[in-house]
Amino acid sequence: MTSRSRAADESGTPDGDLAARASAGDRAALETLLERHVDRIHAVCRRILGNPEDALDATQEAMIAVARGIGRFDNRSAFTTWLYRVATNAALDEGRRKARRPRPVDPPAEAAAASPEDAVGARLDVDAALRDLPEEFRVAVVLRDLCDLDYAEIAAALGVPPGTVRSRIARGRSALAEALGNRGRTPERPTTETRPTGS
Amino acid sequence: MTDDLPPDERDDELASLLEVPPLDDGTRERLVTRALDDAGPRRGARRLTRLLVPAAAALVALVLFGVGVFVLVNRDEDNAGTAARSRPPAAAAPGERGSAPDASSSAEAVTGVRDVGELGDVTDSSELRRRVRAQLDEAPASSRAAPPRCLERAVAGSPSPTAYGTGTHRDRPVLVLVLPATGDRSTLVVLDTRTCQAVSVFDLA
Repeated sequence: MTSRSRAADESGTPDGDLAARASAGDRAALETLLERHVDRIHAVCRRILGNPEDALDATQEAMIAVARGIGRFDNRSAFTTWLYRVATNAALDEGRRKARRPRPVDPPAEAAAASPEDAVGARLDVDAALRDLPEEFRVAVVLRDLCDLDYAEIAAALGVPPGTVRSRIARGRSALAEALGNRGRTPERPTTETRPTGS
Repeated sequence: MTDDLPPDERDDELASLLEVPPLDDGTRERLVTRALDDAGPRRGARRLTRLLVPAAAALVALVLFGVGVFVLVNRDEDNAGTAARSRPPAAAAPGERGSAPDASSSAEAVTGVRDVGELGDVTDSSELRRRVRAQLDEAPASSRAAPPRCLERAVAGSPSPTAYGTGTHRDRPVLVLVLPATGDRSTLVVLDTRTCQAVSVFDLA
């Protein structure tokens, strides 16, 4: 049975069940889980790193981390929450590794925009807008709006208070809206955490 | 894009902008295969380690338990022993010594336990090992008239000795027992024949 057909057979099996079987050594269950979530892992890495090649490297590291660490998933949270945390950490680690390595020149924005997988991103230059965001804002926005994690899940994944998550998301969205031309809408008002005092 | 959202609400418009197209099949398969290959041997090794470590620990514990039980049994028996046993041999009446259980035991009590004879001064453990090995390799079975003191109890215990000899340890008379252990190793237990207590325990190898 091919991995694709096995994944199809297991399409109705919840992630938690597959994770439990994978944790017990069921390689087919682990393969199904990885196959099922590889695109989401890649999307997280792609949006956090903003570079297709780095994103693929980070995706591979995240997949390996999931395969090795599946025994540590305790089923107390949603599997995807744990998965996105692993993917986020892999992406951030890859970004730090890249930052330590000297680069002759920065990749031109056109090169990234020319990637065929970026048909939508090229038009709106999402990568460029995300790159300009501070890392903590970028991660928070990606986890909230791409991965659909709620504040509590993001707070658990990042190890910060929910209020901090809320603030980071608000500021990140606002900055993104401004960078993307806002598409005719007004930027988000600052939250009480970020509003300047004395005005 | 964001200003009219209630708290903790996903921004669908931004979500659509952040979406990334799916990977092609070749890349997906390569990523999955590499992850499985990388994790496979390590997971196998961890499972093997998880099995071997407890097994080794159990084996060591079993050997230690056997030796410990033997020593404790002898010690307990000695503590609850008779006044005659606690008296030095010189203080015992000649008749009493002759009728002591050890001395009165017949050779059947030690049947199957090889006597390697007199080993001399066994205070030095390495010398004791050498002598025991030499005697086990070369000495013919001895025909001791009566089994030495403490041997009967040792034979009744578990594990039962496979061989025994006599000697002195710091000028005190001792009984040397060869006990079976793991693999090709045996354990030597040196008992003070006046108290039947172990004074030394070590590997024969």
